[in-house]
Amino acid sequence: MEDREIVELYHRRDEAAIRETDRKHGRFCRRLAANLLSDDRDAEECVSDTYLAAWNRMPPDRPDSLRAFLGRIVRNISISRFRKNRAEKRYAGMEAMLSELDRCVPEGAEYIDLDRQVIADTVSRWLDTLSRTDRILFVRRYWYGDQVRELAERTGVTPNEMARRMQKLRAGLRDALAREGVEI
Amino acid sequence: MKGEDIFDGITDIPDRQVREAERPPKKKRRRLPWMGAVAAVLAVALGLGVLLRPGGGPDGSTVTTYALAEPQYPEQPEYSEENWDAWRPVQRERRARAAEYDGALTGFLTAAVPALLSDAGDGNAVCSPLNVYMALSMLAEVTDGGSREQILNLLGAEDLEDVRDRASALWAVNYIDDGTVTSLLANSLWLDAGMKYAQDAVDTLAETYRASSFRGEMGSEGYDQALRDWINANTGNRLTREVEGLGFQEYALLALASTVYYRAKWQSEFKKSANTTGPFHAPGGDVEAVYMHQSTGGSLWQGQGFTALYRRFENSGNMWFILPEEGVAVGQLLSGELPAFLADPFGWENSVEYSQIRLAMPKFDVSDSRDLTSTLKSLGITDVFDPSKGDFSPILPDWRDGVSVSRVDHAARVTVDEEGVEAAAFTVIPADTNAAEDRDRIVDFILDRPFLFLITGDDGLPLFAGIVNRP
Repeated sequence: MEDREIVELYHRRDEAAIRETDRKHGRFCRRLAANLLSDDRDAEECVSDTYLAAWNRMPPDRPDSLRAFLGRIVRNISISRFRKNRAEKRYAGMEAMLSELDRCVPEGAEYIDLDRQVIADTVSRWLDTLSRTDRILFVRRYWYGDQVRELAERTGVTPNEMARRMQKLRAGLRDALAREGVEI
Repeated sequence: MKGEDIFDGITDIPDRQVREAERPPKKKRRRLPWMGAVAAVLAVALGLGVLLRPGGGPDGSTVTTYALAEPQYPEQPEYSEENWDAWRPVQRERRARAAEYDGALTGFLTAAVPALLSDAGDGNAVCSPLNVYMALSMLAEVTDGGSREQILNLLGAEDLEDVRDRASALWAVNYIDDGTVTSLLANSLWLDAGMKYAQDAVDTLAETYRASSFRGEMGSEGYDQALRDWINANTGNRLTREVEGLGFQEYALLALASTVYYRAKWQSEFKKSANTTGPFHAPGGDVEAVYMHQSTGGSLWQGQGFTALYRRFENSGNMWFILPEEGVAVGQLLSGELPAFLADPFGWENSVEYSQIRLAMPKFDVSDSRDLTSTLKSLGITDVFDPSKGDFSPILPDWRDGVSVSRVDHAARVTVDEEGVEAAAFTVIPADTNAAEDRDRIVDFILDRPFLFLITGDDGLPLFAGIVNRP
């Protein structure tokens, strides 16, 4: 079934929408949740919560890309779980990713609150300045949550080479945040 | 803003960028390693508004008697909330220069760090890779032919311009004096009173390496004392014992000296009240050590046979602690994956694991002093030590042969306590008309258990590295 037809099911309040979503995008959602939460049970709960959130948001939402829409919900739920449970529970994938992203924070910007959309716009503009490969690698690592080792295998480089590439990309993002979006 | 905010921002990038990445990139043919390691180079800027370094030379010391030229050091605003607007841009500009040598030192560090630490035995080993790099860069500047070529090979530099650009940027990034962090690099050139030198080379050392220059009678007590005073002044008197025996041979033609001094506070200090005493399993048997404790979340880096973590310094770099697996000797690690880790620890994050860490870290004060001649020879630098091959013509135009480096004195000391770290190192390279014999190695250490450490600056490069084997 096409995505627009699935979205249409949501808008008709047809529960088949969730079944079709799971059939078409369930694997993607589970994988993304597992990448972030590193725990099958939590990932499964996260996916269920995602479907519920999708059901509540459509209507009125009518996403252009259902997959990106669902992915955002998975990410939002994952980070909410992380924030809520961080004292008691380990979410290795999320911890590792956040530890890496901490290094993208420009010097002195630790104490500044910045609007989420401003950061998103800055990241997006910066991504557009990258080569296609670098852009995809960055998005795979930090949006889809792929592990560095996995990306290294797929692209035929050593994990260390890939880690260095990521390090360089993060440094670029940090500079972009300092330069474009964040006047610190 | 923190990493979580950036995570949120990335969540909201446009659909087109998410969709573009639906399919991961495909395998490419592997590139040769050097193809990806081209360093960006920029022209050297000595900077406007520079002042003579405050307290650069001890008042009334012998140093000023022999001084030909003193470098100017950049003035940095002190760090404080009120001074934030003045402090911030200066520090940002300083850090930004790390991009000029990004990745370019990896080859040198991968080869040099294990070599510099390899003869620890059951004792401690401490060195400053950055200090050695600087001293060798200056040595490249005053040599030519095969002598220079071998140095460039070790430094991983294409040519002298490459060396200059990196040295200048390294100096700029690692020079911090803002009241919270002190990271001071100093270089100097010591000339003999009766000799003729090429002014160009002296000028380049002054401009690019900010080297002070001195002229005096080699072998005289006063000139020896001036060298010692200069090193003590630039290492915060942390190495007075190691400096004690330093001096010039009568037949020395020139000498290069380089120092680094680093002092920083932990971002989170250790509480003295939480200290405990306990056994430290040193190679020769257990000894008692004072342990500092901290419980915190953090990342663990794992490699073959070791686990590592780091602790941040306030407004500056990090200190890494590398703990070998039980049953694995520190020395064994130096021939495995570890050198690559030491050269670029943040590049190791494929193995990062976030954990709650209960850190128990012994307080220590370790030092080491040695002649690096055999180490450098093992790293491919041989011609400068051979009077028939040493070529110092760029600075000694009248000496076509018969000049060589007689020894390379390197000493370093690192002290770690509840508040932070204080570390210092020097390297002295004299070029003589005769080659003297290697001096005995002096090892001095105070406490601890077998592990490695690394003090990295803002750029992630190791300012200091060491093995702590015994308390």
